[in-house]
This record gives sequence, C-alpha cells and structure tokens, in this order.
Amino acid sequence: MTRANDRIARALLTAGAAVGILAGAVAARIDVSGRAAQLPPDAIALVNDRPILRDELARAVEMLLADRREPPAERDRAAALGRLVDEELLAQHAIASGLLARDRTVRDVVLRAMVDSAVADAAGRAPTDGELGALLEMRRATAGAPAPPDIETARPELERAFTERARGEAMQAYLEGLRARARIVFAPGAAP
Amino acid sequence: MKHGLLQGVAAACGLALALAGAVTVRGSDGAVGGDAVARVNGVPIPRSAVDRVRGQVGAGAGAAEAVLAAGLVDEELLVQRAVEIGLVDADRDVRKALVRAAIDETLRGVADRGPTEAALRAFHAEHAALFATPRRLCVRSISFGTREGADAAVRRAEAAAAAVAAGLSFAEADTRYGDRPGLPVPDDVLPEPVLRRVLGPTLTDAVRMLPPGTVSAPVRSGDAVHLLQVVKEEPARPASFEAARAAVEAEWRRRRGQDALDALLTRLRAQARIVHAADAPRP
Repeated sequence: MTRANDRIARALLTAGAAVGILAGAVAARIDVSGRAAQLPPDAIALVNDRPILRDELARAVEMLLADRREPPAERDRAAALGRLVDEELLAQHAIASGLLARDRTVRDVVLRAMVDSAVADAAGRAPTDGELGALLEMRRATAGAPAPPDIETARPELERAFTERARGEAMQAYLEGLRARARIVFAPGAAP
Repeated sequence: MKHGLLQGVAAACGLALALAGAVTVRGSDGAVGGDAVARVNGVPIPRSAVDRVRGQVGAGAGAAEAVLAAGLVDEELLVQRAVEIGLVDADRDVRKALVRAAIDETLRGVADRGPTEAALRAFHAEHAALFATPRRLCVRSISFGTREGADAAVRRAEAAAAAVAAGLSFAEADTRYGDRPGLPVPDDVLPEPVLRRVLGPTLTDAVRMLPPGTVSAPVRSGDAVHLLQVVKEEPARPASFEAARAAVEAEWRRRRGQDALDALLTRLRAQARIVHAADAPRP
C-alpha cells in the first residue's frame, strides 16, 4: 500500500515537473512572439525591451546622408538602424559594466542633466517687480556693495541674480528631498 | 490542531527570515568600513574620490573631509535619482556619453596590452604600402572659363593642347589661350592626398594616370575646363620600420581597437533580445 502510494506520488511529481517545463516553454514562446506584437507604434525596434524610436532613425538617416543629394535608399536606412542598435547595445553594456558609477565624464553629463531638470521650473519663472525690489533692497543693505538707484536701471542684472538664486534654492530643496529619503551612513569623522 | 501548529511555526520562520533580511540590509548600510567615507543607499563613496575632488578644487590636505564627502554624497544621490526617474534611459546626451565611455574603455583595454616589437615589425612588413611615403607630383594647368558655353571652352582647350603638341611651351600656351584666375596649384611636388585637396577628386583622377610631360585631354570641373600636365613625379618610397615606427604602432592599435569593438558588439548582439518592427529596413 505504501509502495503504491510512493509510486503515485512520484508519478504526480514527474507529471507536475513536466507540466511546469511545458508551461515555462510556452510562456517563453508567448513572450518572444508577443514582443513584436507589443512593439510601440512609434518604435522601429526594441533592444532588450528599450525602444529605438522612428524619429531617432529619421534623424540618424538625415545625418548619415548630410553630404548627399539623392534620397535615402533602403540600405542607408538599414545601416542607420544597425548603428542605432549598436549604440543602444553599447549604452546598455556601459551601464551593466558599472561605467555610470566610475566614469567621470558620464557622471558629469548625468549631473548636468539632473541639475537642469531639477531647477528647470525655477529657471523658467520670471520674477515679479516685488521680488526684484526685495533683491534690490537686500543689495542696498549689504555693506560696501554699490547698489543701483532703481529696478529699471538694473533690471537685467537683478533678473539674472534672481534666477541664479532661485536655481540655487531649487537645487538645495531638491537635494534635501533626496537626502531625506536616502539611507546615508558616514564613516567616523566624515559626517558633516 | 496539528495544522494550526504548523501554520504558527511557518509564520514564525517567515518572520525570522524577514528580520534576518532586514538585519542584513542594515548591516551592509550601517558599517562604512574599508576605503569608504560614506554609503548612499548601500553604494560606497571611496576615500579616493574625496582625494580626487580635493586635488581638483585645489584644497589643501587640511580641507574638511566632511565637506568634500557631503558633496560626493549629493552627487551619488543625483546619479541614483537619475537612474530611478529614467533620465539615464531617456537623455540623449547621457546615452551618447555612455556609448563613448563603453568605446573608450574597450580601446583602453587594447592600449594596456601594448604590442611587442616583433609584432610591430611583422605588422610593418605585412602592410608596407600603408607606411610608404606617398607618390608626389608637380602639376601645372591651363583653365578655360565657360562664359561662352562649355563646348567653346573645350574647343579652346583643344586648340591650346594642339599648340603645345606642336612645340609651344605649356607656360606660353597658358598666356595665349588660358583664362584667369587659373587653378591655385603650388609650383612644387605635392603628395597625392594634398593634391586631391587642392584640385578636387575629378582633376586628381585625371592627373594620376598621366605620364610626366604629357598634356591631358580637356577636363571639366566646376565652372571651367582644364588642361593638366605633370611636370615632375617622385614615386612612392617604402619607409623603414624605424622611420615609420610611431605610425606603425598607431595603426596597429587602431586596428586592434576596432577588432576589440567588433568582438564586443558581436557578443552583445548575440546576447541581446532585438525585435524589429515589420516595416523596419533590412540590410
């Protein structure tokens, strides 16, 4: 009786494993064939799920043929797409191999883009006359600094200073938000 | 009863595992050991980074490590946030920088494994033509404007060529038949690549096969027709390995770099899932 039960249990396990393998294989096939169907309409290709947009291809073809007068041929478009795919592969490889963490140039470009993005709203807002007036008063109050007589005389300079200050404040606020959410641990003696 | 007990034990085990996981995470964040001055969400900020910034800003050794470390923490926060919000995927400048960095790193790998002297000598012997001093030519020309039409210019050119064939000097034929300004060709031997820059591809191709002393057939280029004559030719001369060593090494590295890049791309393509739209161009 016990032996019979064992046999049944083994048979069930084997069947279960077979069903599992089959389900996995079917899922894999559905996944692969489904990708082409799921290609977004504005994408000409997917490279490890990241789309290459039709606009990107159009720009790349334009650049490739900048010195030529005839319209692009199919092979030109294929060459441009091949190049975009290769660039995407290299970008993904760069991230996977840790270049984002250790390449100074890459980090500088990321930081510039982040700063631009973080302060975009602050940099784009025009100051009111009241805000410019307050800035002018502050300058007058600063000992030793020659202050312009009125807002109109110094409007471009005041607006520049206002934008600069607004950018700095926006960046500071953005960083404080990030710091508050992060887990930051300093070595002894390195804490600010 | 037994079932309830088992459930209780399972729940306790789960809780214990969860707690152990939490402790492990805290442990990795909590200890800033070794070379790190800080950890940001688990990512270490190495002390060498602080030294690098200190060197960049020109701060002395006494500059507060804490201030520099705080700046690096902010930098790491921004980079992590860039990944989180997808900026690294979407920003074109960042993608370009990543591609450039991947290429540079691949080429650096080649540069670090420099060639042996024997490999360079073999490469030079195998590609001797590549390192030869190029053929040099001294060329002169007579130009004929096409104000009265291209056919009229060609007829004048043919008349000038016939006069030279009959014994008139090329310079005299230029004075009698040619228009000003002519082509700005220096009166000296020039390497073919330089000649190509001065004359353009059409006239250079016409001159390349011309035996010295012979006058070419009329050649149209731009708004004029030209007669060309090769005054002097210095054939290409092979360069010794010693003379060409720097160029040989540079070319060796360039080719090895290209090979390494091709190999990397072949591997990446083989590993990647690449899906094309139905209307994507095919090679």
